[in-house]
Amino acid sequence: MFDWSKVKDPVIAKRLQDEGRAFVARCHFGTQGVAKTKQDVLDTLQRLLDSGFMTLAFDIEANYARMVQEVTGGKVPLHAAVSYPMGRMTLKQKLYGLQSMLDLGIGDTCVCIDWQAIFSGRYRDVEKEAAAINKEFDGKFLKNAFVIPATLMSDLEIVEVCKALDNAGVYSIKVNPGTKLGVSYEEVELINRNFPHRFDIHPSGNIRTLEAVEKYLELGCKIIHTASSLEIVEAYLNRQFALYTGGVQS
Amino acid sequence: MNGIEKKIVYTNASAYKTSDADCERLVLGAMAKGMERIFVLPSSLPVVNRTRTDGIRVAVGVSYPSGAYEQAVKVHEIEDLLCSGEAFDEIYAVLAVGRYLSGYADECRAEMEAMAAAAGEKPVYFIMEAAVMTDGQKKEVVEMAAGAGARGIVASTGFAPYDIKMPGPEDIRTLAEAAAGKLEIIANGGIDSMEKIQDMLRAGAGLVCSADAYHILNG
Repeated sequence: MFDWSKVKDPVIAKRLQDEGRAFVARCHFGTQGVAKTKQDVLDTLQRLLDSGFMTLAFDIEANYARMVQEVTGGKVPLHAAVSYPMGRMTLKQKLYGLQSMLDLGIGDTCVCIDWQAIFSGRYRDVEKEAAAINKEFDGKFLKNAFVIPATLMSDLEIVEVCKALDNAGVYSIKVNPGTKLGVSYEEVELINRNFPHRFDIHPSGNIRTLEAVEKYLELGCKIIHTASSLEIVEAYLNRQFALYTGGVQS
Repeated sequence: MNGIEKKIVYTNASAYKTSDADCERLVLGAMAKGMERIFVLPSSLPVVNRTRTDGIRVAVGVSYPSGAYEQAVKVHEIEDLLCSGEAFDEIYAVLAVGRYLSGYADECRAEMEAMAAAAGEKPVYFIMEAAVMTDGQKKEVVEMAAGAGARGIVASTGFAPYDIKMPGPEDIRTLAEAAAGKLEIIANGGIDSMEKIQDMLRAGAGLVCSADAYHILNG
């Protein structure tokens, strides 16, 4: 955690706080998985609260949403995923799952497109599924990103799937789910090159450094999924502090 | 083969990269090797059903792999499968393992009862993560599953990206002893050799689930 005691100048302290707040507000942070316990979630939440910053959303499994809302008085924005990570539920199951997210007060979500359709080259089915989800939920969430496993796809497959999502009216694409599948700069560049200014791209997985986050921001990404959000903002603040003070106490 | 192929559930449920052709290969591979059971996820059912013959029993996953949805969502998943028009024989439903480990046993019991009731005549197997549970917890989950009317227990999701420990023979032995013949125990997770299959069967598993079954049986 950033050592605020070393910042003596209130003007610099204020500037760092503002910058840190803006930086973290682009990040998702949390804990997910089949065996995550209440204590795991509370410990991770406490780390976030102790940082003094708030990420764009706190990522959890849906069945901890009520608990986090009770603990925080609903003040922490939540993110949970539907049909995660492989998207091999039925469309009806996904629609019901998304509605349940809204009912739980989860304002930020992502839904995995049927990866079996993707890997089978059934791009028309990808489009139909995305369009059906969009028709039902467009505008109802703060964010609803559609998850594609870009790392496992060829360039051609990525372009074809993005075409399908474009036709379906999708805005936000989460590139990889995490869970061992990490994004690359090339995947984001490929989508940007073929669909300039078209998609809000959320890189996810294997993003662990300030340099990586800044590279994705340079590539036009506005939202970053990283379990290292708090370490990265600390690195960011240390760098900014050094920039303003030459590394010495101000 | 000594009939060992009849004790195997061939699966692609945990595979990230699964296409229609992979689902066809799963079914055809099972048939070619004399396996009688497969485990797939819901969107694979149409391909599986147009490929399989009557000799193949199909288990379909619910809330796979996280199991971390609200009870109503999981019940809806089952209801949707039953209304989908797609044939399947059994349900493998992932329990809210994290919630159970957090002390919400009553919630877990209610979830099991609700899912089993929603399934009606379809046999339900509950997927747990045996390797992260104490022996006492394993026994309690088995008792709850039996009380809910489950057909059996699957010892793990087998979903490697979660970085969760996979069950060993000792976990299966504990589950089998607790089940005392009332529930069928299915070993799952990291089973990639004939030796592991045999270890799990010796430990008391009634069935062993493996994504590598075809290659294992191929020698």
